Amino acid sequence: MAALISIAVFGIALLYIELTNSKKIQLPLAVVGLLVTLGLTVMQWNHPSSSFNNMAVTDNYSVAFNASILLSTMFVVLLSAYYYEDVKQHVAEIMALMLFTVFGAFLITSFSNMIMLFLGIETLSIPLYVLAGSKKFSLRSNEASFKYFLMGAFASAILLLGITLVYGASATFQLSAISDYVNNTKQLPGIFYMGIILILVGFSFKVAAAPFHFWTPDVYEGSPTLITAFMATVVKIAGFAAFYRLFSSAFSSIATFWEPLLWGMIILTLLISNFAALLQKGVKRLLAYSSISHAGFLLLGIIALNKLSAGGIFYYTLAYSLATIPAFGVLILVKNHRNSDDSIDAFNGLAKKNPLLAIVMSVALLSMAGIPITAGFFAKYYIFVAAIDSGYILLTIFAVLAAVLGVFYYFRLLNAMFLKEGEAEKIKIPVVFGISLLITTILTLAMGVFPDYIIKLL
Amino acid sequence: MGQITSAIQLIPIEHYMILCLTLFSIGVMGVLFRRNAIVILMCIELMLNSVNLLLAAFSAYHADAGGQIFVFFIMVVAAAEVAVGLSILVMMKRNNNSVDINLLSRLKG
Amino acid sequence: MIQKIAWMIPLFPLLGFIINSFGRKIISRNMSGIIASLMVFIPLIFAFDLFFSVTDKVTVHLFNWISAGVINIPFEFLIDPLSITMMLVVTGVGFLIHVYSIGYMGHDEHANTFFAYLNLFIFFMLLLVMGANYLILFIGWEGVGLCSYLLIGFWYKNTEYNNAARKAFVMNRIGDLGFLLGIILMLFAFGSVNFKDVFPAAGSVQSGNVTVTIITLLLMIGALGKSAQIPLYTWLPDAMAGPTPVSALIHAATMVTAGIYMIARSSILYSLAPITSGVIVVIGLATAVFAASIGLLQNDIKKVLAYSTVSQLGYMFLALGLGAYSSAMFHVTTHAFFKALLFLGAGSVMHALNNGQDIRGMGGLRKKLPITFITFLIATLAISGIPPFSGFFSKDEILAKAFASNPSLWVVGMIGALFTCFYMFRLFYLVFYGKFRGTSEQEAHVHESPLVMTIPLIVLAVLAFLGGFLNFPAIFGGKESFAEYLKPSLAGQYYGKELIPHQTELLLMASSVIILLAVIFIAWQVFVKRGTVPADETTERKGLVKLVYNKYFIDELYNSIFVKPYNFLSEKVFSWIDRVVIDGIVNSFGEISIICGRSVRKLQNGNTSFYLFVMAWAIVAMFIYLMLV
Repeated sequence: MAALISIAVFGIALLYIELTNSKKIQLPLAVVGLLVTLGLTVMQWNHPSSSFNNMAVTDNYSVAFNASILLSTMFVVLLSAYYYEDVKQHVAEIMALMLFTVFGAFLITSFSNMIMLFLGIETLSIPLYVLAGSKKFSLRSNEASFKYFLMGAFASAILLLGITLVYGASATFQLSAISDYVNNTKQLPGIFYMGIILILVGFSFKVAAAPFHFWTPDVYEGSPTLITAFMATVVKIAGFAAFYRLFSSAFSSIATFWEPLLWGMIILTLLISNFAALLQKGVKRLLAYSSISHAGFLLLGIIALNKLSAGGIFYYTLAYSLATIPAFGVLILVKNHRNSDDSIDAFNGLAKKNPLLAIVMSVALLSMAGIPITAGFFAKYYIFVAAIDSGYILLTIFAVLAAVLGVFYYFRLLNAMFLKEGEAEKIKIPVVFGISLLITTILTLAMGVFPDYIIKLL
Repeated sequence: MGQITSAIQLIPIEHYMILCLTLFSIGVMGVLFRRNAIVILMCIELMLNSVNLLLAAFSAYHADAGGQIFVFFIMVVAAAEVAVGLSILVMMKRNNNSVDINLLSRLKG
Repeated sequence: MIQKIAWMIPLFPLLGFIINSFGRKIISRNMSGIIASLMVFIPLIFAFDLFFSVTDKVTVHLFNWISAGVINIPFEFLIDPLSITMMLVVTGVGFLIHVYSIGYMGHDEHANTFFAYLNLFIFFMLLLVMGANYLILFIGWEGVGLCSYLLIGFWYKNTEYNNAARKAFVMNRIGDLGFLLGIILMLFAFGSVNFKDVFPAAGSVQSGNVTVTIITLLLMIGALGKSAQIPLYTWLPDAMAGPTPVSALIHAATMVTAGIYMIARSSILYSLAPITSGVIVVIGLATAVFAASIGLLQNDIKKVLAYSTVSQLGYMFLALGLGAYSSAMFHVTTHAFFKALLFLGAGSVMHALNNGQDIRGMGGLRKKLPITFITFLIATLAISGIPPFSGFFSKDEILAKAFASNPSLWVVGMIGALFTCFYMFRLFYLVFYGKFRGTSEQEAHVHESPLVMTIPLIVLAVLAFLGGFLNFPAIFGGKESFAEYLKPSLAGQYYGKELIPHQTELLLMASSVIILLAVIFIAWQVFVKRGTVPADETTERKGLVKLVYNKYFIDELYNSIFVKPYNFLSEKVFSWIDRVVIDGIVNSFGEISIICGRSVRKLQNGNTSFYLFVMAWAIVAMFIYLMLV
C-alpha cells in the first residue's frame, strides 16, 4: 500500500518537475522515487497485509515480483540519461509515464479481486501506448503506438468480457470466492468456461504468447529502443506474476480444462518465435522474437502448476530482465554509432574495438540462450524441472529442442561480434550507462553461480 | 433498488446475455472489418459498453452491487483509453494525413 | 570456534590471488611473494588449530547451493581427520614452496602473476580436499587442473612448454570425463552426491554390486589421469617444463595426490568393489615398477624425479587397491615431504647452474652447495627406504600389506624399490660427487642459494627425516598413531588385525634394508669409484637399454596408435563424414528451418486487421474445444 502510494506520488511529482525543464533534477528524482519505493516494498517482506477492502494483498509473492520490477525500471531509467541526452523536452513525462506503468504493474502482482486486475492491466497499458509513440515524428513509432493501442484495447475488451462471464456464473470478483465456487459446484455453467478462455486470451496477449503475439515484433521494433527494453521487462514480469496468481488460485481446480489450451499455445509459441528469429536481420526484431520464445518457456512454469512454479517463474523473469536490459543497452550504443543501423552486421568486429560491450552483450546472449554459469541456465533448468515434476515430459523435451534451436540465432550475433571483421570504431561509453551494464552483467553471473538465493525466496 | 431488481429479474437472464453478446460481436466485427481508425475506436467502445450492460444485468440478478460498481470503473478506464487513443490518432493523422489502418504496415517480417 | 570459521580457510589464498592479480602493476615482486606466502601461512595455522580441536567429522554448512526437485547439493565443507591431513600437507608444504619461490622466481618479470596462480592453485586444492560432496570436489579438481595448465605453460614464450601444457590438459580431460560420468551415475544410483548421504547409503549395498563397481571404475579413471598412472601418465614428465617450484608443489606434493585422496575419501565405495580394487592393484604395481625402470636411464634431473613421482604414486595406488587406505595416505604425507625436498633441491642445483638440467653436466657440487647436498641426501635416503628416514616406514608398510595379500606382490614391489634406490643414488652421485663436468662459465657461477631458499630445504629435510615417526609401527612398540587418527574417515578392514607375524615382518624389513644397502654400494662403485657418466645423446644404444632410455617408446606408441590414426581418420574419413553426412544433415535441417522461418515471417505481414483476425479465429477454435470437452 505504502509502495503504491509512493510510486504514484513520485510519478505526479515528476510531471510538475517537468515545468522546471531541468534534467539535473528529473533523473535523480525518478531514481530516488524508485529507491524509496523499493525500500518500502522490501520492508513488506514477511509482513503480509491486505488493502482496499481485501481487493489487493501484499504477500511475499508480490513483494518479490515488485522488487524485480523496480530493479528493472531502475536500470532502464539509468540508461535513459544517455538515451535522452539530446532530447530537450518531455523527458520527465516519459519517466512519469514509466512510474505509472509500474503502478499498474504493482496492482496486478498483488490483486485478489478481478476489478483490481482489470484496473491494473489498464493502468499498465495506457501509459505504454503513449510511451511506444513517444518519438512523435517517427512514422515507425506512430505505427507501433497505434498498433499496440488498437490490439491492446481489443484484448482488454475480451479480457473484460471474460471477467464478466466468470462473474455472471460465480457472482463474485474475489479470487478466493471464485475458487470456493469452483470447488463447491458440481456442474459449472458454460459461461464460466467461456470466461476462463477469454481471460486466458487476454493474458496471452499481454505476455505475447502465440497466436496472440502478433503485436510484439512490430511494436518492439517500432518503439524507441529504451521503451522496448522497458516493455520487454516490466510488462513481462508483471504479466506473468498476474497470470500465475490468477490461474494458480482461482482456476487451479479445473486445471484439466485449461491446461490443454496452454499446452497448444506453448508449442505454437516456441515454434513460431524460434523459427522466425532464425531469419531476422535486425537485432531489435530478433530480440523481440526471443522475448516471445521466453514467454513460451515461462508458460511451462504456469502449466506445471506445482510448488516449484512460483520460484521458477520469478527466477526466470528476473534472469530474463537482467539479460534483456544490457542487450538493449548495447544495442542502443551500437545503433547510435552506426547511423541507426540495427542489423546484425552492425555488430561485426565489436569485440576488437569495444571488448567491454562485446562481453556484456555475450553474457546477456548466453544467459538468454541458457548456457551454464549464467542465470539463464538455471532459469530454464528450474522451469524444466517444474514441468517434468508435473508430468509434462514430452512438452519439456520439445522445449529443450526449442532452446537448442534458440542457441543458433544467439550465436549468429556472437559470431558477428567476435569472428567477423568490421569497420568498427571505438564507442565511448557514458559512465552511468557503463556502470548499469556492468551491474546487470555481474548480477547475471552471480545468479548463475548462486541460484539458490533467488529460487529460495518463493 | 429491490423493486428495480425484481423488475429486471422478470426477464430471463438469457435474454440479456444474448443481447449483450450480440452487441459485443457487432463490435468485434466492426473492429475486424472496418478500416477507418475512428470507426474502429467506436466499435471498441461498443464492445466495452455491451460488457457494461451485461455486468449490470448480472449484478441485478445476483443482487450483488459489485458488478455495478465495476461498471463505473470500466467507464472511467474507457474514457482514459479513448483519450489516449484519439491523441495517438491525431498524431497519426498529422504524420500520415490519413486514418486508414491499412497504411500501418511498415513494420513487418 | 575454529570450526565455525573453517569456511574462511580457502578464502585467504583466493584473496591472495585477487590482490596479486589486480595489484600486478603496483606491488613489487618480493612483496607479492610475501603476500602470497602469508595467505598460505594463515590457513596453515587454522589447519593446525583444527587438527588439535577436531577428532571426528564436522560439517561446515555455508549455503544451499543447488536444490531442485530431488537434487539437493549444499555448499558444505567436511572437516575430518582425512581432510585435515590433506589441508596440513597442502598448506604446510605449499607455504614452504611459496617461501622458496620468493628466492627462485625473484628475477622473473612475471613473478606477480606466478604468485597469483600459485595462490589460486592452493585455493582450488583446499576446495578439493575440504568439499563435502563430489561436486565441490570436482570443481576443485578442475580448478587445480586449470592452474596446473597455466603454470606449466608459465613461460609461454616457449612453444615446447606450451605443448606440454596442452598435453597435460588433454590427458586430464580424458580422466575428468570418467570422473564426471562417475558422479552423474552416482547421482542416479544414490540420488545424491553428498558424502553424508552416499556413504551411509552404500552401507546397505552388497559387496560386488555392479553399479558400485562401475561408479568406482569411472572415478578411478579420473584418478588415473590426475595421479598420472598407466595409461594416462605421459603428461607428468612433460609437465616438468614448468618452473621447478611448480613441479614441487603441483606435480609432486599435492595435485597429483588428489586422485589418491579421492579414492581414500570414497574408501567405503571401493571396499565394496573388489573388482575395481583388483584393477587398482595391478595398475598401481605396474606403474610403480615401469616408471621406476624408466627412471634408471634418464639424464634430465627433473625427468628422473618426475618418473620417480609416477612410480611412488603407483605404490600409493597399490596400497589403495589392497584396502590399506591409511598406508596410502601415510605415503602421500611422507612423499610430499621428501619429493618436494628433492624438487626444491634440484631447483637449487639448477639455480646454481643457471638452469642446467642435464646431470651429465653436473658433478662435484658437494662442497659448493653444502646445504643442498645434505638435505638432498636426506631426501634420497628417505625415498630409497633406508631406516629411520620417513620413506622407510611408509613404503615398508605398503610392502608389508602387499606381502600379507600375496607374497609375489611383495617381490614385484621390491624390484621397484630397488630401481628407485638405484636411480636416486645414481642421480645423487652424479650431481654431488666426482668432478664438475659443466662449462667453466657455469663453474664460476656456482653458488649456494640464498637463505630464503635454503630454509625451506632445511625444514623439509627435518620433516623428511622425522615424518616416519608419525606412524611408528607396532612392531617397534609404536602406536601407529597416524592410522588411528585417520580411522573415523576411512573404511578399514585392517584395523585391529595383525596381518603377518612380527618375525616375518622383521625378516622382510631386514632383507629389504640389506638389499638396498647393497644397491647403494653398487651405485657408489659405478658412479663414484669408476666415475661412469651416462653416454651422450649421439651414442648408439642397443637392445633393452635403447628401449628403456626411450621410455619404452610409449610416447611414440601413443603417437602411432592414437595420434596418427586420428589424423588419418580426421583427414580422410571424418572429413568425408563431415562433408557429406553432417553437412547434409545440417543443411537439410537448415533448409527446413529456413522454410519454416520464411512461412512464419509471412504471417507477420504488418497488417493489424489480419492480426486481429488470427486472434478472433484462435478464440473461435478455443470455443470449439470447449464444446468438444
